[in-house]
Amino acid sequence: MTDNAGSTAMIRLENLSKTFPRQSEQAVEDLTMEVPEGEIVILVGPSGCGKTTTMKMINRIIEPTSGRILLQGEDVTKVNPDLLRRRIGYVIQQIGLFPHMTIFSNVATVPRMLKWPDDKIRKRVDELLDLVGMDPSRYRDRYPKELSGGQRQRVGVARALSADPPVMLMDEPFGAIDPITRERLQNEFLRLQEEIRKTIVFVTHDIDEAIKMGDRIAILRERSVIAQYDKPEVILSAPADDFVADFIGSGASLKRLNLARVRDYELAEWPTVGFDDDRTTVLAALRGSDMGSVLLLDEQRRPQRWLQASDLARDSESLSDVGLPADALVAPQATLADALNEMVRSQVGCAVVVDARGVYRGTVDMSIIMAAAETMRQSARAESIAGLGQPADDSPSPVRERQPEQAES
Amino acid sequence: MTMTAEDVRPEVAGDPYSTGPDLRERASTVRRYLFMPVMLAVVCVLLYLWVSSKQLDSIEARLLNATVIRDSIVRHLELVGLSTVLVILIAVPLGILLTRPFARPFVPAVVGLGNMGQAIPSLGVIALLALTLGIGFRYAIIALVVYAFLPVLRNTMVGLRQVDPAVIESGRGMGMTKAAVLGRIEMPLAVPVVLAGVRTALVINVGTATIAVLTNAGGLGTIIFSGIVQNRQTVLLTGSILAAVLALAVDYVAGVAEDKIRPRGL
Repeated sequence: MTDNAGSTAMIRLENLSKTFPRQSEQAVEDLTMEVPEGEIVILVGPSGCGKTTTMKMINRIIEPTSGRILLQGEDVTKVNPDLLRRRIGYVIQQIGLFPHMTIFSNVATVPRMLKWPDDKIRKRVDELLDLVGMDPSRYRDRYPKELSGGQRQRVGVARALSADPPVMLMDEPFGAIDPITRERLQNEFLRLQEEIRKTIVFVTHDIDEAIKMGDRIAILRERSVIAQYDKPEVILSAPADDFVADFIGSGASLKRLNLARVRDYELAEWPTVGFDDDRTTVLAALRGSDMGSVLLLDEQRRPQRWLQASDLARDSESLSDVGLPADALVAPQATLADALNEMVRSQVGCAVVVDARGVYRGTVDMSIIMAAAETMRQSARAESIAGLGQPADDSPSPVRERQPEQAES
Repeated sequence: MTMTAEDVRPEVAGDPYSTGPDLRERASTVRRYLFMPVMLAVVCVLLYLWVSSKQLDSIEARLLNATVIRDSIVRHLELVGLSTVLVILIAVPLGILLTRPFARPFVPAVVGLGNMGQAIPSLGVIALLALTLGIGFRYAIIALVVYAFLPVLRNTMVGLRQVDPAVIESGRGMGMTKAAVLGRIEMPLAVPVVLAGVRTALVINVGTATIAVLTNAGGLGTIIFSGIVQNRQTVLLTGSILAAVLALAVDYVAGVAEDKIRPRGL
């Protein structure tokens, strides 16, 4: 493997086809695609388009009728499928934890098959449970039925990572989880991926999930024919055809906001006052800006209340009792879409950014969102024009701007 | 199974860190386990007191003594034990084979045969065997095997089929061989259903074994049929009650074994 992440094809599918027995039509027709190392590639398409079949041919749960599968340059189309699968992590929607085995045994399955020494397995399982945010001492000896859906899903991911496979296949891994937990797991998984940098093939039917999770998205039509295979920004700005445009649906600009993080933008400032400020100072602050309200912070500079001039009329009350509660808080890791959502809910029309300790950092207002949307649209358009004329599978592009070091430049 | 939001699920019983409810549960388990043996012991004591309060004639005395009763029970248990072991040895592997994809065409034929075995009255099976093959312990065993075969076969197949396909797929997807998936996932998960079938077979066999006496194989049937033939109500009742107690005792032991063998976490 090279240190030049993203430039090598970890998985290459060549002219892959699948015809199921007793069916005249092909489920997958002559598919050729490459998955670059260290990226999340999403296969997305309408149901029945063959995306799951395509994914399952990579670890040969479904054997291809014709074509070749190359893993790290090695032709694995004919190797022993059981040995092949031990090199590929596999997460399915139903998770499929072994109900009669403890969490430890579930996660230890592949290392045991690979005959790792016991103490190495024990260390690895604890490390993985930690990694997915589950306290090993608390959960190691439990059974799957004692866990919630979200916890089972994390164990499923830990189990797939157990033997540190370079490649993971994920079939709608967050599909059966309630929306709130799903969003949390998605964010956790993206954070995890920044650490582990696996090559991931991820199947979903949800275009929003695809845009959020994918470094690249392959939009598939019937028989797994690639309609467009590109970075999400490009797909959103320059859909290849009507099929892709229809599939993305309306609101591409809104969806694009899912690609940007609050921390990557310069925040707006809002006039603030502290608990110990007197009313004259507050009034001065109000007059000094055209916002119409000031944000009251406590001693630790955590947002407390929104104050307007009318709130200051009665002298008797303490500042912390008047005005409106300061809600619409977002974390720096939140996407601009999250921020926009909070903004719409907010009383004053902006989202307040606070760090992990709740300390005020700035605000996101409409002008920031507008500017970000415009920049993203232009850069994606430029990129899609630059990318024209080149076959998609040999133009390794730099890793997405989700990473902070790129976004700061 | 419903998916719940994170961490809303309460601590479950069996959690090593919470002892309170666990202790209470253990106490109720003990009560449950003790009920049946105590009841059966009481029945046996009452039966003993009743029989000893009677004036037995020579025929009754010849049948109702410790040696005859003990030998009958031992013989009865031999019939039941051996036939059930044979049933398990044949029906479980056959059930496994029949749930493999390649065997699908043979399933109706085999299950049909098993059905036939159970549909023919047990007396008929023994009579048939006596007419065609002969009489004695061996043929009684064959009859019992034929008769108890279906519940074990059927439960093995049902048990294997009800294993969640997602669990099997995730096992295969992790690189477990077919044999490993069968041995370490499918069979353990099918065990509760298979055991229920074995338990049914055992109880059927305790009952059916009482007619093994007709093919000269002994057992508690000896006492019952002597009671009928020689018109001795005390003997008949004693034999019948002992057979019933034995059936319940075997069922109880099988039930306890089921609880112990069943994999945890299910």
